[in-house]
Amino acid sequence: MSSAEPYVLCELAGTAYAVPSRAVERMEMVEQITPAPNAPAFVDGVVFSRGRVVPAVNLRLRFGWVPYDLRTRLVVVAHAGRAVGLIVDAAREFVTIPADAVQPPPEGLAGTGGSYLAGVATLAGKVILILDVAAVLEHTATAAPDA
Amino acid sequence: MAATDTETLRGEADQISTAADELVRTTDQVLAGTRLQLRSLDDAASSANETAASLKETAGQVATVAGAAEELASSVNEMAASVEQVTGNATRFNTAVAETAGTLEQTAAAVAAVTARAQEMATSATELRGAVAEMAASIKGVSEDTVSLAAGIEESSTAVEELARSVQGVARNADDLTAAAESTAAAINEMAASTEEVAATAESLTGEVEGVATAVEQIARSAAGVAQNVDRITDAATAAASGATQLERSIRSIADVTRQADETTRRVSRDAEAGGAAVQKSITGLGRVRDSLGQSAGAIRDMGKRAGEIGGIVNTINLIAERTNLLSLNASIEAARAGEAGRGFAVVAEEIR
Repeated sequence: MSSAEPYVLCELAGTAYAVPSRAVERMEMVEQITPAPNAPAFVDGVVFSRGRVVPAVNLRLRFGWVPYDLRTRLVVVAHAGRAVGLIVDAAREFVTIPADAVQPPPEGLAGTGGSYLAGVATLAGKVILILDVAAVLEHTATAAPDA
Repeated sequence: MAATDTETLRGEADQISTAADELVRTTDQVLAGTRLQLRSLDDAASSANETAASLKETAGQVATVAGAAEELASSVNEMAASVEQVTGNATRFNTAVAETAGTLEQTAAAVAAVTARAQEMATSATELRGAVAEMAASIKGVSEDTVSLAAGIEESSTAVEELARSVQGVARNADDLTAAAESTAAAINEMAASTEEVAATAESLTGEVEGVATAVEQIARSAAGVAQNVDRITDAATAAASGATQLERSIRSIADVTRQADETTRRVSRDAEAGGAAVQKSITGLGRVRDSLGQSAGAIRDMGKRAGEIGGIVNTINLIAERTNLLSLNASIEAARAGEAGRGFAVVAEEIR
């Protein structure tokens, strides 16, 4: 099992992202997001997920706001006791990517503040960016007081 | 203007005609007088012939008594000479008469004065005739005397002398006759002069007639001009007539066209009536179409409603599909977390997806 890892495939501005399955608590449809005061710009608001209030982070903020539709998904991830909802355009696939298909992220991107990538995988001729959930959660945790 | 001239001309021509008629009448009278004169002259000639016969007889008797007396012979010779004289006079008279006849032939017309002179000449001729008759009587007396002379030759000498005297008287009478004839010739010469006057008058008349002829020529030219104008008028009238004929043809063709137009109009009217009926039918049909369209609109509204309903159903189906997909993903996530125990569950989740 160590040679392959399950992922949930998400779509964001036409690009495929992969979120490790073990980091995902659950998937939800975007039905009601309650705007929260003093929230950072990338936080659309808060949602209730299994009795907890979870901030909904809009990863598409940099590409411009797109209205939610039927395919919009909220991927609730948890790391070190914290949970965050990531709003993506769509999330419909569950794949298993072999470890040797995953490469480390390019040097130019590693270490920068804006890079949340854990690696880049190639699956059936398609490039998939593997999201670093811990980095995203850290960023949201540190950026929240700034906003 | 020309008509007035023509009237005047005609009057003058009538006058000329009247004068010519008078001239003819006068000439007839002159002819009658001349014939009378000729008859008188014939009488005179016959009397002279008689005289000649008597003289021959006398000569015969004288021949029988020739030898009787030279005195008588000489007397007879004298008488013969006298007779020759008479004959010469008669010849001259004849010549004069021939001249008169020539002059008369030359002049076709004579004047009233000539008539009077001819009458005078006739009178003179009558007188001459009387003288000749007397001469004949005298010669007869001479003859008788000569007969009595033949009966008594001896006593005839004196009688012959008387005869000679008588013959001399005859000669005198012949001289008188000659004189009368000369006067007649003079009268005839006067007549010729009058005739010349007549000729001059006739010449002037000719001049006037020439004038008249000129006027008549002008009239003729005017008439020719009038004739030309009449020809032109005739041409124009002919052209007008042909134009009128063409006009008539054109009017007839126009009438035909109008008739055709009338028929066409009637046909169009019928068509229009039929068209009206058709339009009425069309209106009825359109009404039905409108009703149908109304029904169609209702049906389309219903259909729209149904389409909306269908859309709603499709949305619901989509929602169900999305939720099913979501459910299968979550199932896959839980199965992965369960490890080996969740492997079968993961397969089911995959099948659902």
